[in-house]
Amino acid sequence: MRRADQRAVVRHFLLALAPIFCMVPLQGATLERLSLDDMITQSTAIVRGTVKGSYGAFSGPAIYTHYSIQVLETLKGSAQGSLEVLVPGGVANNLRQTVAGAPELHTGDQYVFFLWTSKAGLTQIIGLTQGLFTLPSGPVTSDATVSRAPTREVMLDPVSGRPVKDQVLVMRLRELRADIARTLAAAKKGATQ
Amino acid sequence: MERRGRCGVVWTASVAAAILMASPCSAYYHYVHYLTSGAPYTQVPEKFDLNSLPNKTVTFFVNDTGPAVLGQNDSFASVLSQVQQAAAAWNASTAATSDLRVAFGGLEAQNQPSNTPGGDVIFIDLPPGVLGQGAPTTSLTPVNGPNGTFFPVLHSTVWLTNNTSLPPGPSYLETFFTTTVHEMGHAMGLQHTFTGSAMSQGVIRNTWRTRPVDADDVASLSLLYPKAGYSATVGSISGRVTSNGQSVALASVVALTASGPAVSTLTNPDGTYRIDGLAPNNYFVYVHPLPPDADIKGPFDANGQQIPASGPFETLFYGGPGAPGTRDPSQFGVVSVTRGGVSTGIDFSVQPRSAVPMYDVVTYSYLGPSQTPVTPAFVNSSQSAMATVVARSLPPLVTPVPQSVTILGGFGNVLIQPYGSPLALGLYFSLPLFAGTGPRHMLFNLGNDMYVLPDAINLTQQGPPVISSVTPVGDGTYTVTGSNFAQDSLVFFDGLPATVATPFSGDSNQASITVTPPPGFSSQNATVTVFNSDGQNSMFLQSQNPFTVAYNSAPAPQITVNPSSLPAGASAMVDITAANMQFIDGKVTVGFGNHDVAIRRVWVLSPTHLVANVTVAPGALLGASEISVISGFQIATQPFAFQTQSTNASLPMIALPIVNALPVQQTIFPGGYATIYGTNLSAPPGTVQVTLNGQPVQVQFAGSSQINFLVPQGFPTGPAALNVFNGSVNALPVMVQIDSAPPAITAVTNMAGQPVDATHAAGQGDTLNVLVTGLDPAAAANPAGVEVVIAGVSMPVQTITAESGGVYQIQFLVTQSWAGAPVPLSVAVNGSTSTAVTVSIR
Repeated sequence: MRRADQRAVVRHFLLALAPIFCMVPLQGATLERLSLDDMITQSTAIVRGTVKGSYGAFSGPAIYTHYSIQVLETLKGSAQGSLEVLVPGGVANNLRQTVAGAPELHTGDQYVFFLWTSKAGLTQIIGLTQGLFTLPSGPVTSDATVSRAPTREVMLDPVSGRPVKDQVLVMRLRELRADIARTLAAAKKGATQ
Repeated sequence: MERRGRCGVVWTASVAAAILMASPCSAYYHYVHYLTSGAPYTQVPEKFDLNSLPNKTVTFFVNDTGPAVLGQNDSFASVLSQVQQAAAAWNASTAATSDLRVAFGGLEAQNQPSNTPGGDVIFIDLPPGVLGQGAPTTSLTPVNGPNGTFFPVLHSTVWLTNNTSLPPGPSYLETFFTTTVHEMGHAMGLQHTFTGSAMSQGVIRNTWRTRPVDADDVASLSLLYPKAGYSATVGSISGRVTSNGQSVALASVVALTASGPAVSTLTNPDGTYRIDGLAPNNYFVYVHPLPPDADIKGPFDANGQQIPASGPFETLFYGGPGAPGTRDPSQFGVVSVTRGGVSTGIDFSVQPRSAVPMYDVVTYSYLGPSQTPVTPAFVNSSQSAMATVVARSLPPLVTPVPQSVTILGGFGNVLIQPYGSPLALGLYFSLPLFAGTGPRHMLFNLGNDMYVLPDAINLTQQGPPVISSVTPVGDGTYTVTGSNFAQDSLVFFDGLPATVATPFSGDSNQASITVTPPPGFSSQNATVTVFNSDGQNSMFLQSQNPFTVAYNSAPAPQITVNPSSLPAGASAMVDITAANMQFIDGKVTVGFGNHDVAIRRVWVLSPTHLVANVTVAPGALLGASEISVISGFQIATQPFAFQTQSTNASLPMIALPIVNALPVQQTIFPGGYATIYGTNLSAPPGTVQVTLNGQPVQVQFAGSSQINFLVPQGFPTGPAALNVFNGSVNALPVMVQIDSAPPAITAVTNMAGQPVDATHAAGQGDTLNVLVTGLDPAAAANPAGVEVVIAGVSMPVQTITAESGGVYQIQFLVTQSWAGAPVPLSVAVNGSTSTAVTVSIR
């Protein structure tokens, strides 16, 4: 191919550098990428808490693993004391339901949960693993690092519909608190204007 | 490092890698368990128990609430059509090799209980950030079956977001269909692969409407649910993967040909593997590590814990007996696979790597005057001697720049031009003469490693179809005109194919096809798409402004169903009449909203009248369920209108299907004996009576669990109502299909008119004639329903010609050799098989 032809072709590529992935097949789960701001505003509650135990139970055709959480800090909403978070999949009645991409929480571990309660009253983590931040074991200070592992599921950009890769998210707990407070304040201000 | 947002959110690749490495990354082709803690590892899969499925069929119901929000021009009826088409795709693609049948069951109420296993598609209010998820529900207790131990899947559920304006919607798009195919694969026990097949992870999948599943998918399902004799028709490759003498667990081993599909498996914890289900051929074989984002569950050890994959390693091709693995295409070894054979010792010794250097690569071509990006890439090999493709890793992955890129089996000297941000690779390669069509595999040479992308590009002989007009003819049909249509182009209205009224005419520049649309609902606005068998469709270039057809306003469909209740364990024919609907034979779904109630067969008697044979499971849950009848896009439902009642011990129970008394015959025909199986079929001292359409027939044998009867000579073909009186009470009537009697073979001759016997043995490639009498003229006019079978192998029928005296000559091609052995030859007409004669084939 002559160089000029190549340049012309490359120009076409550059013009079309945003390939349209309008439709991407579902995997075991298909997720929509949420920004931190999205998660803050779309959650019904954000809490820091410790997993105290779990059990599996059916809700309609779905098995959910019910994790009981001792709430240590409420960052959004009015959750107090303890609450129950449902994660899709688990074991109940001698049956196993495997949901790709669903997180597995460990008893005794501490997390920050971005939660959403459905109209049916089921409280779940936003975006499977997107709304789950882990904390180190032991006493937690404001300087503690909170991190979120990237999901392996197909994740779509909400605007373009294109598949995107999730990435690890790491920050200080105080940064997360500040960002939540700032975003909620901005949302409140916007709502009152 | 990139800072994102004002809060100091830090995206740290190194931390990401560390977390990935710490995460269990284990896998298998099926959902696999090991019940032993060491070698030899016997895989125990999760799968449906065929004995618990009615007619060995897994039925998918769709929740009747449907999506709350529909995309532009989308409809719930279109969503249902895609589920129906996806089930049909699996069913048709695996009909010859898998015992599991797949069906669409219509609508069901939310949380409809049932005891029979099956699949459900549900639209629910998912948490923000989740668009869909799927999961099989499996017993923790393994059971033993004829093909080994397995964990029975009791139910599979697909949850979809209730908003089809979001991806993968709207439902009329091809990707909604391929997504549904993919999810059904999971529901039946298949995991992800990395071969471009339907079960491949979405990034590298390369299936389409006219090739919905690939060889990897067919092999995977057929190995879980093999038809009798399947293993004798395919071959295997086995070996072991090691790294510095240590076993490599969960390495992906792939067999492929230069222009054929790839079939893969994963290694056991001891590094052993066996790729089954391979068509006889010569294969290249390579091993590669799972990508870090491999979305695979298990395998699980005896304690239910996931077994981790070994760390990253180099990708290598098999180099031949005694030769080391290689990345040099000129050194690739070839492994020969024969029917029923196992090619053993295909071992790999690989070196570890710190990371997988390249994965999740997407290819693009830029088609049409606007250079519209299409992925995976399609290359028109007839248009130019040069092909241009762009490849890049899915952002934010960084695309490595390879030292060279080749297409497996040829197309060397690819010019690589990195460009853009994020980096992409412009690939320019020359196409040889007669490059052929279909998917081709791409090899990326990374120096001390390589990446193989199966089905990276698709070669075609023309560009994608473009519709220029859709015009009503006035008789209910529409003429679709455009360019790049082909003889095998299909016209779809939303998710359903239209019926061809006037076949393709014209050429690639200007052609037309006239079609009859599927029945539509009132004021439906259906999107029209043309699909070519090469994988291209008109939405490639016209997705922003597709042609649509508006259906007329019409009253809502209504149905009358009789009977609307049946006892558990019973079979019966159910009569359904409709108003404001149009039934088309073969295109109607009847459902009773409940996995315990199975539809065995539907007969369309008129556009507004059908009869369905229905079976209620003996252990069915009692109560109400939803009746739905779907014809095209027309949907009639009656919520909670069907009642499953407690079993009636005094009732004779007919077990469907009613079959020919001769096991070799698949049909029932006049002059032949048929067998009814069931319970309580005879109640002495009374006399058993059987009628067909009210006509008494001769009962040859009657027992409590079996009746044999003679179908009278001359009995009209078609559906007939069958009644059984067991001497005390009547069974619920069922419908039985009476087909044409099989033909009788009078001679098999070669083209010289000599009989094909030991003296005049025929050979592979010869054309032969079978002379038959008693061939149904309707069958003679439709050779597709006529089969010539030699030793169980179907031969392609070329012509059927009427001779004098009621004799027909069937000309066919011999496609296989039997080394001169005498072998049986028979003629089957729509399933009715003639008595065999013996021929000799060299």
